[in-house]
Order: sequence, then structure tokens, then C-alpha cells
Amino acid sequence: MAEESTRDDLPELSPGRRKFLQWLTGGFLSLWGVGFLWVITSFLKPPQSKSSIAERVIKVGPLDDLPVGQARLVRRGREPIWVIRPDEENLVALAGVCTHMHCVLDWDPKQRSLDCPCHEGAFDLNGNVLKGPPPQSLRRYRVETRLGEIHLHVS
Amino acid sequence: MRPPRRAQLTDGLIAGLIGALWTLASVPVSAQEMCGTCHPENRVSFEDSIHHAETVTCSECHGGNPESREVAAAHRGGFHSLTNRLEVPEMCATCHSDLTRMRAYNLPVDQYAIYLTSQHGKGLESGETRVAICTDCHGVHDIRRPRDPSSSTHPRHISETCGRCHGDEALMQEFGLDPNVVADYRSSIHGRMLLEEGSLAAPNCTSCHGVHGATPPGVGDIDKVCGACHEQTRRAFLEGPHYEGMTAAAVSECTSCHSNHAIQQFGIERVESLCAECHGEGSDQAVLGHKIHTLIDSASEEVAAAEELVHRADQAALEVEDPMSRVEEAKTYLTEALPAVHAVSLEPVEQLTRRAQSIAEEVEHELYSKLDRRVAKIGLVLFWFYLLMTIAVLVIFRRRLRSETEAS
Amino acid sequence: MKQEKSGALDWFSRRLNLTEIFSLLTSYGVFHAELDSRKNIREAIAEAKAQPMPSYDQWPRVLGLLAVVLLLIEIVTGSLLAFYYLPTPQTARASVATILRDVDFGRFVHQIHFWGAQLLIAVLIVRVVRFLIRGVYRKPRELMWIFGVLLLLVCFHSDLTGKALPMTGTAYWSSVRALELVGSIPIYGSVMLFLLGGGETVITELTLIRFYLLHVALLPFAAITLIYLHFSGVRRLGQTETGSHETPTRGGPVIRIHLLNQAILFTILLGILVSLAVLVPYPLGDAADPYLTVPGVGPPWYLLAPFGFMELTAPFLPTWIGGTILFLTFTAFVLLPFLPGFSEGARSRGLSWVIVAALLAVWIFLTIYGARVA
Repeated sequence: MAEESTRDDLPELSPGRRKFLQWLTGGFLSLWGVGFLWVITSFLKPPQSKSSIAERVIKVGPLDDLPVGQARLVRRGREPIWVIRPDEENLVALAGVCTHMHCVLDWDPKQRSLDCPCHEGAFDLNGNVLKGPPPQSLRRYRVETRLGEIHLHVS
Repeated sequence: MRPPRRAQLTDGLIAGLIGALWTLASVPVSAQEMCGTCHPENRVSFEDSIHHAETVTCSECHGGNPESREVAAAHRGGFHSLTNRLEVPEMCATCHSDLTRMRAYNLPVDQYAIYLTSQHGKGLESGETRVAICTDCHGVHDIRRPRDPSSSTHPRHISETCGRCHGDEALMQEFGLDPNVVADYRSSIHGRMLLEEGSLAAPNCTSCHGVHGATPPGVGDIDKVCGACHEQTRRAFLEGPHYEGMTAAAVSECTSCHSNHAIQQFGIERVESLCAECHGEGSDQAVLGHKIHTLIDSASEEVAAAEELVHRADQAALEVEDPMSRVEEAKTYLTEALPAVHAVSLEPVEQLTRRAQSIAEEVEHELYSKLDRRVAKIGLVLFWFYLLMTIAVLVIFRRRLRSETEAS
Repeated sequence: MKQEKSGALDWFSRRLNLTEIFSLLTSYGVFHAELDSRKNIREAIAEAKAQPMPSYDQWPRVLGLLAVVLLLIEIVTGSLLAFYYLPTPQTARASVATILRDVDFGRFVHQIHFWGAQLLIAVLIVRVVRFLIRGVYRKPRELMWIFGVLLLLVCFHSDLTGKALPMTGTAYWSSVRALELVGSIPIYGSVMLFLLGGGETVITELTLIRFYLLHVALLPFAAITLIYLHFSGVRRLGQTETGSHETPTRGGPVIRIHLLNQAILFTILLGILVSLAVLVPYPLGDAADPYLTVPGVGPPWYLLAPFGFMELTAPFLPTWIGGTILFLTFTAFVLLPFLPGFSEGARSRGLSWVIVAALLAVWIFLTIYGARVA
């Protein structure tokens, strides 16, 4: 093709080559169309996102996997959340970040408290400050069991 | 017509009611006593107090004959003016050391005993009247509970209350004390937290010096006083070599580096020069301080960079929840590293900072690759390649058409 | 095969006035010749093909077509974005974030929409300047000028309303600033503020839905109408400027070359647009907080000049006088052809370079001043 486009007064093309040039132009242009269609259809395909804009529910896992007296740290953005199973029936979910210097708390199964590794702050199962410098109690989250699976509500 | 019996009953009831009302009305009068007639300003100030609210009367402290309006008669019979400062603590103790009276209020009864062990109490025992007695801090007539925000013993007002004497230059000079302690405290991180940020968790004067037994903590005790809040720090300090050495040499523990009243937030960069101040430039210890500083400094820089990157990614609407929570974790390790410095050993600090740093680096690496959008740029190159090819084909086609048009 | 195709065309042609539809569609910058809608579609096309076509050798002539293409891109990408956007203050930013983050090509479509709008406004501004220079406001082209300027105004409003939709801090405060500016202009300002939210200069739920409706329905409709009206002027009066300028045509059926030129132009435009979208992404920004003014947020770049004027005159002129001056200036600008001494004149030239340069200099000065104040 390169030698064809050198001068303005081009030699007459054979019908076959002319057809080819027409076909080539049409082909290139229609590929653009295919591209646009592809972009548009993939845009319109609803995203399979785990996070919806409305209230979010985090699946923590089967209840049987969390023994009584144990706790599990669930990560959600800036807030790690402790899901604690203090006894057979109940579940407690508390913010996992100390209200003092925002250190991530540890679960102490013996004392049944959430301890801060930074300044020895401690919180009880209701989120109240047991000791140490934390100025506020911990935020509580709604947690429930559906079909044997723990669901944590964060909104 | 009503039966007379009934009328009598009614009359009796009315009379009884009036009598009861009279008695009720007269109780406060007799309790309030007549003192206020001549001492109105004292009465007004007393009416604000917790003592008045709990129906303590003038005569319970001052004695005398409160029901009399005669000046002479009123001040007769065991009247105490309580103008002698030496008598005051003992007088307060008559009630406040009485277990049966204090039990209902759940108040301790050992304040007087403790007071006597304090520097103030010892001074008073030796006849010095300028030391603080109960009324200097709690007020004379207008005594309020410490938890009352307008009370002079409320945590936010303690420094002011102590400062009335301890900020008095002339007075402190006589006792050979530093008059700047209150001003120092107010400028400290503790004072600013309490007075400016309003955090009642921050210590006031009494948190370290004791309340009634006010005495400066001595060497060997300072770590216990500070450690009451800074537990981690104290634990690390006790593990390290400094504790034994410093107490043996009678160098006060925490305050030697942090000062006592004017404690400021301790920038980690101070460690750089601090070790050399005692151990000398070029000593092994100075090198250790330098290393610790470098560790923490580089880790915090890394964490700050990661945080900044998370913010950038959030602005670009990338998924940042997981990186955010990991940065928080790294910050936790960094916060833990600061108390660990007091063990004056490389290992614990290194462990914590290394964790913080590696988390931060991981987050940065992940976000950079997302923000960089290399795929999009490669796509753009391919796009332009195809675009230029299309233009080339179109131009060729146009030339062909043009030459045909001109030929025809 | 050919027979069948023509058969279909004829089948429709007997039932619909295809010529009219063809005329309508091609009037957006494809053909600049009038078509007789009573004629058969084949006849009409053949006639149009035979017309001598301007070859777009002179580059400024592409501006109108560029505007049409950009408007088309805006409509397509905007419709796509509307599939996911939720117009309430609580959900707006989250839904835009969903588009950017979770939807395939979401970021791409969003950026194309943004940069398309900026290019559209830039093209229209250049076009109005060209009209001034070439005199496309003299008799009989008064209406073409008015439609052209109004189109620019409509696009300003589209961009303004569109910027507010994500409800980010920058968007929020930029809109508040723009509303303040609009509010200072007498009649027009109070009408606009009333329409936009009952005289409030803050963005509420009510305001946002009005912005949204303006952005996706009313303003695009106005833009399409104005472009159509403008190009009907071109059809009736021909493409060249007043009389004396020679018509640049080439002999023979050049329609295919013309269409190819348009395809090349479209391709180049697409390349520029996609490159801008990929290389200079417009950030989403933090969520809006009405209690936290985002520093350094001024009105959009094309409104900096009136903003700068208001700021410049603020120390010695009351706001309403400044607003009145702005309003009168703009009205005079729109009605330029009807101002004495502007419509007449045999020369094909418009304003002299000196006057245009002076106007531009004032505009650029005020823009820079406005940018520095903001």
C-alpha cells in the first residue's frame, strides 16, 4: 500500500485492488464499531461488587468455627471489628480500635477483655473502659446468626 | 348537722397539720440559725456548698448559740471562730474522720491522717501556718465536691488552686521551692491535654503528688508514679539496664530525660542526641541511640508515605478499605515501638518497626501498581497504534478517491 | 442483492418521508445543502451528491462538526453514566465511585465524558472568536451568531451542572461559588437561582435533582436544538461568509472525500480524547462536607473571567452594579448583530484583529486575575 500513496496522480488501480482498498477501509472502520460496542456492553454489565451502597453485611463465617470464649478479628476498612462469642447463645461485635491512640486491640480470653497493646487500656464485653487512658467506650455493631453463619452488620 | 365528735376530729387534724407545718418550717430556721443576720456574705457563700446541701449547720463547726440574735449571746458557749489556722484540719477531721458519719457518703476517713504525713501537714505540726490547710484548697464556706466542675478541687482547677501558693514567687522563695512548677505544668503535654483539650484522663498535680498526702515522689518511686499510666513504658524501662544503674547512682528515673513538670511530647529525634548527653559522643550507647532513632524514623516515614498513598488512592476511587486497615495495623506497631525504646535495646524496637515498615511497604507496593495503571497505558499505546493505522488507511483511500475525482 | 436492498428502501420510502429524516440527520454538519423533502430519497441523495462540497481545506470550518461530534460523544457517555448514577446527596459520590471502581470501563467512560465536555467548550469558544473575526454576525447571519453564542452558554451550564453531580468536596464548593456568581447577576441570576432551588445558594437534595434534570434532559435538548437551528442557517445561506469570499469547492462528486475527511477528523479527535482521559485523569475527590470549605476551589475555568471582574470591582462597586454590568455586557454580546453599526457593511471581514485581540486580552486578563483570586 505504501507505494500507492506516494503521488497524487496515481495510476489506475485494478478492480481487484480497488475492491481490496475499499474492503480494508470498511474493515478498519467496522472494527472501531466492534470496539465501541464492546466498551458499551461491558460498561452496562452490572458490577459484581461485594460492597453495595446500602447497608453492608459482612459474612464472618460459620458459627461452629468460633468456639465459646474465642473471638475473631474482622477487617473492614479502617475499622477492624472484633466478633466475640462470650457464651453459647450470644455474640458480641465491638470496634477493634482503641479509642485512645487508635491501636488495634487484642482479645484476652482469660480476662474476657479487649486489651490495647499500646497503653494498657482494656475494654469489657460491653465496650466499656475497664482501665487505662481510653476516653470513650468502644462502638458496638449488630451481629447475628443466619443459617449457622455469623453476619456482621456495618453501616 | 355533724356529730360533735367529728368536728372535734377535724379541728384536731387542722391543728395538728398547722403544728406539723410550723415544725417543718421552723426546722430550717433553727438549723439555718441566726448567724446569717450578721454574717450575710458568709451565709450566701455557705448556701452554695455541699455542706449546706447535706444540712450541715454553722454551729456544727463554729459552735456558739445559733438561735440567739444577740451578738454576745450568740458567740457564747463553746464558740470557735476558727481563725487560727492550726485548728482547722483538726476541726474538719471531727466529722471527716468519723467512720459512722462518712459511711453514708462513701467518703474515706483517712484524709486527716494522710494529711499529717504530707509536707503541708508536717509543716503545720511544726507550727508553720503558711502551709496549705483544708480550706486553702477546698474553700472555706463554699466547699464543693471535687466532681463539681466549678469546684476548686475539680481536676481542671487543681493546677490553679495549687498555683495560688506554688506560683507565688515570694512565698516559694522562703521555702526554697521553685515557683515555676505550675506554669511549667500548664505548658506541658499533660497540662495542655487537660486544660486545652479537656481530657480528664490527663494527670493534674494530685495525680503524681498525691491528694492530701502531697509529697514529691523520690528517686526510685518516680517510675512507679509515671508507670501508673505509662505501664508499657515502665515495664520496658525496668527490663532495661537504666533502672538499676540510675537508682544506684540516685539519678531520678523518668524525669532526668523528660523533666518533671514541663513534660513535652518527646520527639523521637531527641534520642539522636540524648544518649550522647550522658554517655558521651561516639560511645556505644550513642551509636545505639542513633540506630533506634533511624529505625523508628524510617518506619514512621514509610507508614506516613503509605497513608498518603492510601489517601491518593481514595481520591482516585480505588478500593482502599483493606490497605487502610493495614496501615492502621502498622501504626499500632509504631505506637508500640515508642514505649519499647525504654528498654534501651535494639531488638524489641527493631521487631516492631520492621513489622510496621514491611506492612507499609507492602501497602505502597500494592497501591502504586494500582495507581500507576500500567495496563491503561499499554492499552493507550495499542489504541494509538490502531488509530494511526486507521488514519493511514483512510488517507490512502482519500487520495485514491481524490485522484479519481480529478481524473473524471 | 442490490435489488433487494433498494426494495427495502423503497418499501420504507412509500410509508415514511425518508427524505425529511435524511435531511434532518445530515443537517448536523454532513451536508450543507438544502434538500427538497418532497423528492424521493434516491433523487434527493443523488442531488446532494452532485452538489459541490466544501472540502474542509480551511481548518476552522471543522469546528462546527467537531462540536457536533463532541456533543454526540457526551450524549453517549452521559447516557452510559446515567445507568449507575443516583442523584441524591447521600448516594451521589458513592454511585460515582462505583462507576469508577467496579464497572468495567467505568473510569474510562467517566473520563471521556469529562474531557469531552472540556474540549466541547474550548471548541465553542474558539468558534465564537472565529465568528467575530470572520464577521459571522452580519446580515443575514444574525441568527447564526445568536444561536452559536447561546450554544456556548448552554454548554457552560451543562458543564456547571455536571460538575456538581458527584457531590464531592470540590464539586460542592465549586457549585456554591458558581451559584454565588450567578446570584449576583440581576434578573438572570434570580431566575436561575429560583429554578435551581428556590433562591438558595447551597446544594440540597432539591437542588441536586434540579441540576441533574437540567444536565441530562433540558440542556442537552437545548444544545441539540440550537445546533440544528444553527446548521439550518448554514443550509439556507451557504457555508462561506458574507458574499465576496470565493466558495472553495472542487468539481465532481466530492461527497465521499468529504465523508472520509470527517472520518479522519473523528479518529484524530478520538485519539486526543482517549489520551487525555487516560493520561490526565480527573480525580473524584473526597465526599462533600458542607461544613468544611475545600481550600482553593474557584469557579470553573471558563467562568473565571466574570468571577475576576466581580472580584476586581468589589472594592468600589456594589455587587448588584457589577452584576448588572456583566449582564448588560453579555446581553450586548448576544445581540451583537443588532447593535448599531455592526450588522451593516459590505466587507466580509468582521471585527478587526485589533479589537478582537483587545477583547481577548481583557478576557484573558480577567481569567488570570480570577484564577489568582480563587
